Amino acid sequence: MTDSPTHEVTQLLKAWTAGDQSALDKLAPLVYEQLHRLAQHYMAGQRPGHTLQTTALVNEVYLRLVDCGQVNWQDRAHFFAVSAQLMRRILIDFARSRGYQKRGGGLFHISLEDAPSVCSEPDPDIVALDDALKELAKVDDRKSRVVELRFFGGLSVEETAEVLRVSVETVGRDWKMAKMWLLQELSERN
Amino acid sequence: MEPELWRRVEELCQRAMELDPSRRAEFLERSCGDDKEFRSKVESLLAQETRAEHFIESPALEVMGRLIASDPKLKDGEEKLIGSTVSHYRVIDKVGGGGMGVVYKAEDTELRRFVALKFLPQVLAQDAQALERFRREARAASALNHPSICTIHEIGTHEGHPFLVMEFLDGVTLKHRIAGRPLETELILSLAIEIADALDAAHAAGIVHSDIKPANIFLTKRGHIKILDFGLAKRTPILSGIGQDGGTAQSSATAEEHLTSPGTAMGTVAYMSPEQSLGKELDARTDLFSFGVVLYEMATGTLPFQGQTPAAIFNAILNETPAPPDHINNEIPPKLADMISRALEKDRDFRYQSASDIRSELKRLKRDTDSSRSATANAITASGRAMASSSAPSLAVPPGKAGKGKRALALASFAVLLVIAVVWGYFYVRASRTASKSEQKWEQLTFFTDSAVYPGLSPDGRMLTFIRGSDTFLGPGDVYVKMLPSGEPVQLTHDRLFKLSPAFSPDGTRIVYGTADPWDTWEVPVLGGEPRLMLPNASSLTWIEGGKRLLFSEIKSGMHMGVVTTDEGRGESRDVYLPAGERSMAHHSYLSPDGKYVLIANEMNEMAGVIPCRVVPFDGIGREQWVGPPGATCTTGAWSPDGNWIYLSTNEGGRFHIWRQHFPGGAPEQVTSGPTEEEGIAMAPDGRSFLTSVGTRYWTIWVHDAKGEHQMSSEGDAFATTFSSDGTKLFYLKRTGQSDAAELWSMDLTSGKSERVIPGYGIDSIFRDYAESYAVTEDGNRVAFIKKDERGVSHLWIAATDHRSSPRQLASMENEDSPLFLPNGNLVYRASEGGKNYIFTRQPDGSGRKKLLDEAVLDLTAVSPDGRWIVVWEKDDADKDHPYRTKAYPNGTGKPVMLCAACLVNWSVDGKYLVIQFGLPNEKMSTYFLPVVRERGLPDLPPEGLSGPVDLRESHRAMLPQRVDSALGPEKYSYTITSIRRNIYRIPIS
Repeated sequence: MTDSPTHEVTQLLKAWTAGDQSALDKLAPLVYEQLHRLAQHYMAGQRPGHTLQTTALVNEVYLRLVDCGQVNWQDRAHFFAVSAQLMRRILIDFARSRGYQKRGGGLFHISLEDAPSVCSEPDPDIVALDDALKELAKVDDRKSRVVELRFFGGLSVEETAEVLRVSVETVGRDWKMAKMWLLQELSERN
Repeated sequence: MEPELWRRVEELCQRAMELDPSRRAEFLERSCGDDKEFRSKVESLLAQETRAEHFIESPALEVMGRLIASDPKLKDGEEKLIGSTVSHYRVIDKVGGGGMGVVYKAEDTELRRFVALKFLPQVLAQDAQALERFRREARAASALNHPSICTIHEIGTHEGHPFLVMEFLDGVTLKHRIAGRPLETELILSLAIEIADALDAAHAAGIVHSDIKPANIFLTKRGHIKILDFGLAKRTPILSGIGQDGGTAQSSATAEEHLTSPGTAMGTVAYMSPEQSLGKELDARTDLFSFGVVLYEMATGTLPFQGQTPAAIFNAILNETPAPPDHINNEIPPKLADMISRALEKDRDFRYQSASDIRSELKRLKRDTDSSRSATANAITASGRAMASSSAPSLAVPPGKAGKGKRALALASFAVLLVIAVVWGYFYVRASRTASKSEQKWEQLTFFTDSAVYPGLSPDGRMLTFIRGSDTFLGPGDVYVKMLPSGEPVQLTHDRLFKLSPAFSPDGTRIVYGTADPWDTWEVPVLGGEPRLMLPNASSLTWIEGGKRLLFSEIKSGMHMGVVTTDEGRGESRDVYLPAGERSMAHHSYLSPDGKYVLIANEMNEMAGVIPCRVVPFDGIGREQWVGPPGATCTTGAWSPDGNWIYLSTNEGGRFHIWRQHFPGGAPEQVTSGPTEEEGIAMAPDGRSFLTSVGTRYWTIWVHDAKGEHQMSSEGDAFATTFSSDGTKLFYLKRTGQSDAAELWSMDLTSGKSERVIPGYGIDSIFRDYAESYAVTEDGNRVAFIKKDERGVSHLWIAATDHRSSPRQLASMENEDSPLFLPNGNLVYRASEGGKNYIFTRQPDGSGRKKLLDEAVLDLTAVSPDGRWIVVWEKDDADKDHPYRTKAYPNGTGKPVMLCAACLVNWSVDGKYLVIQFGLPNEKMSTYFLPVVRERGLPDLPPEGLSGPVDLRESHRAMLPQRVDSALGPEKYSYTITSIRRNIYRIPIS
């Protein structure tokens, strides 16, 4: 059964966690697919909404991977951690390759009618955010992982707590503090 | 910043945040002392506190999705294709997009057929891996050559972008078709057999689909199945027959929900097998489990495993046993329920082991069900009594081998049937001629316990075609044919799609019929066979000029339907009649025997009101003329063979009866009368009789409460109930005798006594619907209702319920209807203006008339009791996939809220519940009582609205046969029951 796609993807996931860059290239299309679907929604003037939608999408990526690979359902935490890293990497690469970044970083608005009502805070430049997050990792690694899991991985506070094996309260505090830290960092860069 | 310093900053920051902002400065002063740098670090961090609340709360994927959506490069690239020619395909329209492919409808200019082109989305076009995967999928999908699996014609390249050419599918997904309602057993079985057959073929090729769900199953217009999207498919390890790289396949045509709908993952989860949810190795039996879930949903309209989160659904899949499907829908045969339960066994060893197992059981069940029902076979047994013994046993051909054998058999049987019919017909004609002169008896030709409409006669008058369905204009049903007078009815279509106007071809070998939305004309051989699309955008088609030309209705644009004539190849098209107003529709047309005039029937004006029939000159020269009773709705018509008489069905006097009028220059005279209603006219070739659908409809009003269902009306037709705001009275409309206009009554629910509210004033309907024809204020002191003037224009009237003043009409030029009251006593209503419908408001004295919403709407649906929300039904023609939407607009400023696409919406009288119903009246309707969140005035709903009942939890749900007229809450509501029965009769002409 070594030739089955199942095995292949399991290998890919393992390879990725071990630092094999080619694994990333193979998994990126799955994320692109979700991205495109989401983008289509916005283009059609629909608002995918809040957590449910994103959770559903992240879950779909997850399901595709689970479906293709023998990732153990019990080892959700591991998967979430991997998938958040994966998402982060893929999204940042994507944004860079398409020039979706503002010179000097910071924040920018999307000129979509519906966007402002989704969140009152403008969408961040995620390339700049990624850089800031790297800085945060140097000062407080756990907080940077909270952001990675919550923002890039789309996880809830509870799921994040599960992955990091800390209490929900801790994640809540970390999340808030990390956001403040990142905002300050980004405003300093501007 | 050093980690150590950061820890101190953070700690201080945390403690400061616990304090009231006014006390923070003092706290920092105390804590930091002289360390200004430290203090400023803490302060600048604290300054971000408010902004941080909303910062990056929407996840990165969404942020990126918005970015891509706002990137002009992408949109341009995709839109540029439309209208261009790719290879020899002319791209017509985008029909679906997202995921791993954007799908366009295109015309193959060489083979002159429609195809679907699938391109990689622009996002992935430069991605080598994605390209490779795309090619692999194409190869694997094309390896599966099966009629129920979407066919790949070829793979091509356009400007460096590869694309797939696939068979173009016209129809809907099974998800669409189910839409929360159980399907008929017969349909379930025929679809299920095809699905099982396709799965069997895929499994035999070593391919597991692994994502079987209704959104991936396409139902073509011909009523057949196509399985889409082998995107997750993979070879089973046991049976790896195709090369290593043939692992996945993807094919998809117009499965728009699958490609773009929100919550797709949730949808996918609900159909997963236990082994799939555990991430175990998959095999063919996984598809059979998912198939079981699909069967369950077809049988009950609901999902067997439900939950709010994927984890909850997984839990249900792994640990819960669903309610037996026949307990939810008692029309499901127990045998089918058992089969579904077996497919849903959690341990795959206990399930069906192969698709062919389940297929053969389904086929057996279908055979047993069919043989207890009327079918081609029984037609022979019944009409050819003596022949029965010889022909019936040969029908036990195994269904799998039916194909040609069955067709041949049908042909042979039909010959027998013809002989018998001719002999019978001879005696019948002799008998009936003598009878008709003396008794003028109506002869019943069909004997359904439900309903048959739209009679059509073959050119020789010996065969009858009709639609078995309950709606005399347009509704779900199937085409039947029957030898007259006493052959058994033979069913020719099996899809229950919306149909109208079946008619024979000039040579009598084919029957054409119309479908709705799209309005196309299909044809099916009289002897049975596959229905075929004959002419798109054509309805109520008839042959004229000895069969050389066609006359039919055609959508000119949007909702504007006119009558045109063309040659048989649709060349030499000429408009015969275009109704005024760009949303008007002329549905039926009948050419006079001399070919000079066309009778137009079922012409809908811009308010969807059906107006009287008219006669127009066929060549466009000369004047138009109204025919039939003025002001009355005229739905169908016919000419006498000598061209001297026009026959019509109109509702003059309250019920639909047949009228006729000498042409030219006669006055309308009533032909049929009495307690029944007659619509649809097929003139016998000898002009001595006509066929029509004779029916009875009764309306009774009911109240549901904790004790059960209570019939509240006992005489006359009662309908359109509304509770008073205190719940002590029930308002309703009642018709007695022959009158069309209904009277408003109120019933004291304690004493059961009823009285007229506005004696002497009749209330008119809006296109046969009275539900929106009156409203009562919250204090019960005033009533608004509609009446039509002699031109058929409806106006609003206001009356005081204490009878102290007489009712007054509010002046208006154009149609005004659907009145509702705001809490302050002002009216909200629908009015037409410049050919469109808008929501208006005015004060009860008629002053202050103004447009409330700028957007044109189709209909005003509801106003919330607190007056904050106005619910309207709209159509967005630009959105081809989901044009209809029910939206709540704030009364004032603010954004509208999407409620659902097609559902009925109303508030309970106290405003505490929003009542939402899905489904068609007269069938089962999923009804929800959703608690309203007081601050908002609406319940919690997904931001994109409800796509169907599956989005909602089971709690608060009831399956009701009818729409809820008015509700005091989930425990008490009122409704109207319509009982319809129609059959085709022959009525002699004296």
